[in-house]
Amino acid sequence: MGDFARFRESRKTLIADVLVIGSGMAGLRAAIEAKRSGLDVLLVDKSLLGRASSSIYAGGLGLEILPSHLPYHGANVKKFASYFNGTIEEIFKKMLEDGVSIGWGYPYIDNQRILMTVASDYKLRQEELRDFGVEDPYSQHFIGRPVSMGVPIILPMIAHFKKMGGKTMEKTVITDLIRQGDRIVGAIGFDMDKKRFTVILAKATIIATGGCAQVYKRTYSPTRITGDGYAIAYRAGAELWEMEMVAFCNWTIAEPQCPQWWIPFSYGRVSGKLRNALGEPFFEKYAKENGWLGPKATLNENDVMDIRYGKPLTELDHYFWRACSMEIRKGRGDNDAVLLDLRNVPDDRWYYENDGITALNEMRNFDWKKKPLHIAPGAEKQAGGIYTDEYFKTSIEGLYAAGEAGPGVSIPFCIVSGACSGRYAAWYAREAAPVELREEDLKWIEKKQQEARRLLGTEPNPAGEVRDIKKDIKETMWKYVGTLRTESELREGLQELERIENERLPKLFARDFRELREVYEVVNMVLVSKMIAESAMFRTESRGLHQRMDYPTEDNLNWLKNVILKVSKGRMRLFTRPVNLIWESPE
Amino acid sequence: MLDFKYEIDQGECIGCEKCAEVCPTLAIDFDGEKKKAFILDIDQCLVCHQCLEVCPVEAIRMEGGLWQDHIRVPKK
Repeated sequence: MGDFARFRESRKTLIADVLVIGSGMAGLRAAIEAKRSGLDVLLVDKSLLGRASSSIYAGGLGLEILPSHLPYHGANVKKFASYFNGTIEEIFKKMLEDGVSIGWGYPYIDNQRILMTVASDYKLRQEELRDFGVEDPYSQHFIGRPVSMGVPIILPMIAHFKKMGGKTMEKTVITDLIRQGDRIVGAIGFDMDKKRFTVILAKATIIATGGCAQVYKRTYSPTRITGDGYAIAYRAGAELWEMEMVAFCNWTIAEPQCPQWWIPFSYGRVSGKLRNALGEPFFEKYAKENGWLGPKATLNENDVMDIRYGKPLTELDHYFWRACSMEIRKGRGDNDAVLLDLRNVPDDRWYYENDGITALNEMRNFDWKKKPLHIAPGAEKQAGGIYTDEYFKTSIEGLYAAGEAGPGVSIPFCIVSGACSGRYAAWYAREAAPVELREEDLKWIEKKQQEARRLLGTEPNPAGEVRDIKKDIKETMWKYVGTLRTESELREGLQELERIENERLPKLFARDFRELREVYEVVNMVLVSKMIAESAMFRTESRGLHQRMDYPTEDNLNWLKNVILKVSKGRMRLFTRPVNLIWESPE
Repeated sequence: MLDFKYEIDQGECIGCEKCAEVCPTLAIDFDGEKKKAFILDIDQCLVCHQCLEVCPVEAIRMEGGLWQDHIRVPKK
């Protein structure tokens, strides 16, 4: 029996108290916390548990560098390591003002209660990982390991959740949430292995599906990070916020025939020099123009970057991608990239044996002592996401969001928001009425199932090839909605996205269930791309990660507001909501 | 020129899709018709070892490159 025929016949309904979608750091942590309440918890992932998440590639859970690694890092990198040292108030203030380095990066418009929760809970949550069988919660170092640094943390957490009696489902793609009035009562999707449609009824649902960096051409996020959570929450009518805040990492390798990967804070990198295609240094020029230099900047090429420019690297990183993007925009880039010149780095500053740069390039026989390395800003994470309050509850009853899918980003945020959302969702589920499907729900489910059937039954055609469409979206987003934005480009980008939506998406087809997943991903990618472009156009100022060429300054008078978007009568509606400045305000 | 070699033994591959699932860069893809995983673009390989770790039949082999000591092949 073919996939299509089998699919027509089977539908499986599962019941749980709490449904967690996504099994990265946030999803796992939420599932464990919900399970602690003694409820029936189901953890679902569209790929293998934990393995396809970006958490498994994320370094710096500890933001901690062992003393033995210090010689290989720049002088002030220690500051990065001690980000979470200090009193709770100090950490809170750091996150609010220059959270860029750990991914917030929208000064003063964050929910201060959420920041306070992260600042106060983080160390406990990290130490607690030992209880889940994680041997060393501070072990995510960049140096001397393969790039899947999260494996020793994620795998014990999965094992722990299973040991607690948690249920898991792999390769189950959630396509939509079931909404009854103002409440979410579960989700629908399909099981790729059993090849059947799946309905999951749950009293509370937590979305922890991660970000959407794959909508960009340049990114080093894993291939499954396509913004599904944002899209399904949007379609269910939930509010999203700050979608324009996409974090770019300047240190993304842009060598041809090399995977895009970021270059860690190695001693080699921080001694390097940024040059344009003509071989000229350019960062100093932009730094002087924009006042990015610290008072003690030496501007001596031989010093490491933090001494050279007089600021800690965590802060400088935010300026590097802007300078590089400007240089590329002015046509002085080489194939949309700039050059990181490492030729003069003395051997004693170069711990290269297992460093990310050498690892990827030496294995490709790339001689960094003879040739400069191409780098370019790459999309790293989405700092905005599904809007929640400080209890990680979204704007709809029964729906919670955690991690990058939720209102923040970064590994510290993932474990804190995971734990909180898991607890509050479980509390809600304990009191909530049991879920029963009504006649109209069943009709809606049948309609959705038919849509999936239609995709599997459509004849293959060139216009509907998913991978080609994905490529077009990535190119469009990179060209028009990239690091530095202008209204006219954003408009063009939106037109292009709408063209893809109207001309290509109706032609989509799926040869099998693997492709069906990609079809849903591509639909979600278009939707999320539009959210980013619309929000970017809406915020007419530059703030943190969102940089507008036509509105280059931070406008605290008019824009201490959050950009919220939601669906209304089939259209995307954007509006603002003033920020609640509970403890701190900008001067 | 890569100084490491990856190979998926087509005879030993049981078509469980796991390596293609975990590959973060689409260096490995899955052929739905032949029901076998195959290397689509080795240039994109991050050497993250995830495919080696999840393969239930050790059909993926890697030679050369760095981090050999870190390969965590699950115990049978």
